[in-house]
Amino acid sequence: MAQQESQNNKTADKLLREIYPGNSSMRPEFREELKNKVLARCSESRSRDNFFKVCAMFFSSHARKLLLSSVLVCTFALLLGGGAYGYLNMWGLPSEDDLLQNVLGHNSMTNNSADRNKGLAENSALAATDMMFPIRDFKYSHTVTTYEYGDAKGQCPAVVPWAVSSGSNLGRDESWDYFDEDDEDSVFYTKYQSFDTDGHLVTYSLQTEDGWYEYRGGQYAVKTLSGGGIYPLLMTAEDAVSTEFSAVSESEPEIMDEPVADSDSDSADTSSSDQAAVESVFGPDVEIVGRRLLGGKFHYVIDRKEQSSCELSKEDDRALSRVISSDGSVGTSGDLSTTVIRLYVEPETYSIARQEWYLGSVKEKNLIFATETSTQKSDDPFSAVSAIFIFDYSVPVKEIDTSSETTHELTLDMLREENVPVIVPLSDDFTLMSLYTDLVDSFDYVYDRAYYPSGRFGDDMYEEATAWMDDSSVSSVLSMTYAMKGDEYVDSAMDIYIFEEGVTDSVFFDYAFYGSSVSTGADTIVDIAGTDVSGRMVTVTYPGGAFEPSSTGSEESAVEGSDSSDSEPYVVDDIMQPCDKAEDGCESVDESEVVITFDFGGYTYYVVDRRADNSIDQITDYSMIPGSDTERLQVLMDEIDTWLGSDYGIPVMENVPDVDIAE
Amino acid sequence: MDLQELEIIYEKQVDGLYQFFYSRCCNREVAEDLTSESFLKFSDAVKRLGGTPPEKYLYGIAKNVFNSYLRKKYGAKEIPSGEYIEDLEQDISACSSSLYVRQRQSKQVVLAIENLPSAQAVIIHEIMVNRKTLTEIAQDLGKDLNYVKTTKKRAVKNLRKLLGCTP
Repeated sequence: MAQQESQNNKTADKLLREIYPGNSSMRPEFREELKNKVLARCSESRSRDNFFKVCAMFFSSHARKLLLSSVLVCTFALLLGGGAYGYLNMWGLPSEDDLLQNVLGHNSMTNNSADRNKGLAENSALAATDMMFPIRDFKYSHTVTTYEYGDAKGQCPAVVPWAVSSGSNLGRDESWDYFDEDDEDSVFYTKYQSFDTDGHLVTYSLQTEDGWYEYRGGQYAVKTLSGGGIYPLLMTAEDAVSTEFSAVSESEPEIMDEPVADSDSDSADTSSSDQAAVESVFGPDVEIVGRRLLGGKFHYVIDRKEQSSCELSKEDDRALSRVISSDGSVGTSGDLSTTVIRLYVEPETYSIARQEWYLGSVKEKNLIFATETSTQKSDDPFSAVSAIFIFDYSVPVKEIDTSSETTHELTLDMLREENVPVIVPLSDDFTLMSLYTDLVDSFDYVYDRAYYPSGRFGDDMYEEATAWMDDSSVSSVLSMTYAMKGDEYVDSAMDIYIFEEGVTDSVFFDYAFYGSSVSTGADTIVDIAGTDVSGRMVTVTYPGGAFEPSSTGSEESAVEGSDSSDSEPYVVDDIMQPCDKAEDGCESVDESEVVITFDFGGYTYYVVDRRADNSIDQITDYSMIPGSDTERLQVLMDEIDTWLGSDYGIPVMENVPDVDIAE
Repeated sequence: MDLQELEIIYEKQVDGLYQFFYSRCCNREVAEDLTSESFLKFSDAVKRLGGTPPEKYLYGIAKNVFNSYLRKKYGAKEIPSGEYIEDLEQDISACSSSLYVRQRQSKQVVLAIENLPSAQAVIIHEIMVNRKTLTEIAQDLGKDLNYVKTTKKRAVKNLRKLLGCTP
């Protein structure tokens, strides 16, 4: 299975290595030194034993009585207060904090309206892996969402979920998933299908143990063969206890004498975290409106407001670009409008049964669209639901193998047939991290009209899927990424691109760098297998992202420290935070790279030096492997697999005895 | 408890405890400091154990050490009290597994996605949540692979800043 999923997990694992650089293992010398310290300290404390024993005997009888009395009084007060609160709460609305936190804890939510768009919808069989993790205390779930549209739909197309670009809208979607984390194989199945308002199938996907099926209603379906089990990022009830947004437990840990953190400040801190979580999802403008009947049952009603543009961006209206947004306005353009999102919350489960989107204010004529969702959950064993996770359509299934072995094989074939001269840096300081060609495409079915249904509806789907192809100006024959040895998990050091001869600088910079500017180049000489080749060296500058200025010491970011011994406020954010350029206060940070380009053997080469020091000593000398020498090229590719197959520096913790935590 | 017993406990627990801290702080120096502080406090307190299982006592200390660290660094508290202690025990034990550490890091990355600029967030979301390869993402987005690579690279830099030692 393996192989595709394995490849996908490798991509995620590699990303983690890049984000968490460095060695995660404890230094052996530290381990030994600490052990000596611990043992020495314990020995020293033995000499103080008698003194402590005397003190303990003196205090024990008096202090215990006083402590017991205090505990009883406090407990009584707490019970009385809690009971009164519960009584009052039965007849009114819950507090805003309680309700919002419960809604947050029991639903998969993001803070923007785009999550209902196609991009996520196509993947929403994985809905439980959304940005905010609901507590997953079940194995199987089946969710049906229906969509209805109001008079204001045309006034705010950016908010409306869509099925195909022609204007057909999503009518219903349905997802099933099964995940049993207790199963030693961590079984995870998921199925999703959506239909437009006319009942046309829009998307069908199914994840099974051996592959990922996709079907769009055409003459055939596609099954991407997959590797080992995937790891859904689902939060179980147990996980929830240990996360910062979880509720405070009522009982104290039985850790005896070790002083427990101050409970008042702890509660305040946890409450602060909860508040932050609520605000990050619901936004600052949220209100509990009251209770309304829905399906013969009272539901809590919550209104929250968003500021977002109603106009689709001309530049990019693809839903995926709007899937994740902090303010709901990404991928849109024009003036901002107020959207009111009304949530109907089932009072027992806190699940969101209905959501309505209004333009400006909650009036019938302002309704943009609404969704109603019903979910069934169970702890059934997989055998009880296995029939659901079987491919449903009687059409041929085209299998796609995107394993590295197959991809490398196809790449080698291409290099051999085209006899592409592959250059390799002479310096031993580099490690080849990846090798890729645009010319081997496993996803060509996307551009096959037969993959989509016949008729106008299918035409629209096909058009949508292929619309971007015109934007693709050039394909690389080969692109290779190198890292400095030892820094494989930290950063790439050099990229080598090979194109058919004739690719211009502007085309390449558009291909490799977006929004970049280029300084005038200087002539240089590149040595390829002992042959001097004339080239040019240029500097390219591109936007490295946008950041908020450091907020150290600012009033907004300072939180009073809970440690009474330290009255200085602690600064929550003392680093540059990435932010969206649309926000006030964002500063753009530019980055630059040195690029060497030259023509050789009928191809145009671009070498991008990504190292911080930008010295060119090591990037002007190369050996060369002709495309016909598949044996040496295979060795090159094997290096990548060896690197990818390693444990990325994470040590396998051997010789650690099992700890019997049940004691 | 005699020194031999203490040594056995140290050998059994130190790696898991270190990984527990490392998985949360992603910083070796900090993880070593917290591990050190926990064990030194434990060695001071072993006389007061009574009938309490030593591991449980050690976990209690570790919890408070970590809470104290968070308060000092962020002015915020991550860990609720109460039943958390049971999960802490499992967590420290589980931290001996590199897979567990990776999964926890995954969760941290996913939670941090929303703080990224949108284009970067999409790429990281697709990699971490939908488990897509860069090629698949490029296909989905209708962009070429280098756009995805470049955007991912920028996202990695930002995530490193965001997750410098985020609890």
